[in-house]
Amino acid sequence: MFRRRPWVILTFTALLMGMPTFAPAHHSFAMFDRERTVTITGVIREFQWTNPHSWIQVTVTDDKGKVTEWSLEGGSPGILSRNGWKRTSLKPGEKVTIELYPLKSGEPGGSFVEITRADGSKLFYHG
Amino acid sequence: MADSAVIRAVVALLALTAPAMQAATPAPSANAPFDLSGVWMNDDTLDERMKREGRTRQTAAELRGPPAAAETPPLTPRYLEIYQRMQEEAKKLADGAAGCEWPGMPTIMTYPYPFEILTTPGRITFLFEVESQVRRVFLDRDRHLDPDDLDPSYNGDSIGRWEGKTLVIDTVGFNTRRPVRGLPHSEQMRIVERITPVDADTLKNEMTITDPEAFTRPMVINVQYSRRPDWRIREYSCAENNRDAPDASGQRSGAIVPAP
Repeated sequence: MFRRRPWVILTFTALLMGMPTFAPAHHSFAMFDRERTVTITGVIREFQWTNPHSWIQVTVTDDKGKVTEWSLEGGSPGILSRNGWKRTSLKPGEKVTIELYPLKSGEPGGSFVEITRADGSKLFYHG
Repeated sequence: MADSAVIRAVVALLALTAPAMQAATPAPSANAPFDLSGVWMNDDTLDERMKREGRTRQTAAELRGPPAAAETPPLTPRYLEIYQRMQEEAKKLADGAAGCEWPGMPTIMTYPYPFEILTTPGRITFLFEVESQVRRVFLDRDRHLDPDDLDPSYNGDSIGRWEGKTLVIDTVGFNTRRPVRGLPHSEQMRIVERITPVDADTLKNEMTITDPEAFTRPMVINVQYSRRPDWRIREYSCAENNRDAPDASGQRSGAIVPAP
C-alpha cells in the first residue's frame, strides 16, 4: 500500500549550507524516500533499543509464504522514551503493522513512523 | 557496619585534602545570580517542536530541510578551498552514512539532546546526554590555559563569569575535526556564549563564533533551553550499535546485526 507524499529532495548541500534552527541528530535520513510511505504487517523478531538509533527487525510473510526480514531505523532511546516508548514497547513474536519511509535502494528497510499493535495502540517516531 | 567504615574513610580523606581545597576554593556558587542547576533541553529541535504542536508527522518543508544557501560561505580564500575539498570528500559517502565522532562545540550546545548543569564552587559543569559528554566551565580562573597546555580539543577550554544574570563563557582551544554549521574552521576559533534567563525555567544562549583565519565575519547562533525537572539523562554511546557507520568504500555497513 503506497500513499503519495509531496516530492522532496534532501540534498547534501542543503544540509551542509543550511542554517537550521535545530541540529539533526547523528546523520541525515537522505537514504530514505520520504516522498511516500509503505505499510507492512509482520512479526517482531527483535527490537534493538540502542544508540545512536533504535532498530526494529520485522519478518513479513507474503501470500506465497516467502519470508522477508525488514530492518527499520528510528530514534535513539533518549528521543523515543520522550515520545512514550520503553525498551519493552515491542516484544519478539508480536504482530504489528508499521508505516515507514522506505529505503531508496529498494532493499527491505526504512525509517519507521507509525506502529500499530494488535490491541490498536500506536507508537510514533517523526522519521 | 560497612557503611560507617566508608564514611570514616571519606571523612579521613576530606580532612587530609581540606587545606588544599580551601586554598583553591573561590566564591561560593550560592552567590550566583541565577541557579542554572538542573536538566535542560534545547527547545528548537524538530522533536520538541512537533510535541509542542501535537504532531506526529513532519511537514513537507521539514522533510525537505532548509534550502541550499545561494551565497558563497563567509570563508577566507584558503578555507573556501578546504570547504570545497570537504564537499568532494563527502560525495564519497553513501547517503546517511555517519561515523561516531563527537559533535564538538558549538554543535553540542544545539544538539537535539538534553544536558544537566551542575553548579559547584568555582565551576559549572554540563553533563550532556549525547555521548555522555562532560564540559567544564571554570569560574575560578580569568585566563585560558597557557598555549603549551592548551590541547586542541572538541569542546575547548572554557572560562566563565557573571555579568548581572548573564553567564558569559569564553571558549578557545579547539581541534579542527568538526565543522561548524558545515563550515571548516581553524584552531584559532573562539566562541563567546551569553547565557541569560528568560524566566525561571527558560534560558537563551547567544553564541558568537569568530575565527580570524577561517571566517570573514562572526557567526551568531541562538538557542533556547527549557528546564525539564522530570527528565533523566540516559547513557549514550554511539559505538553501541551504529549500523550507519561507513565501510571502507563509504557505504553504510547497515547489516542486520543482533542487539548488543
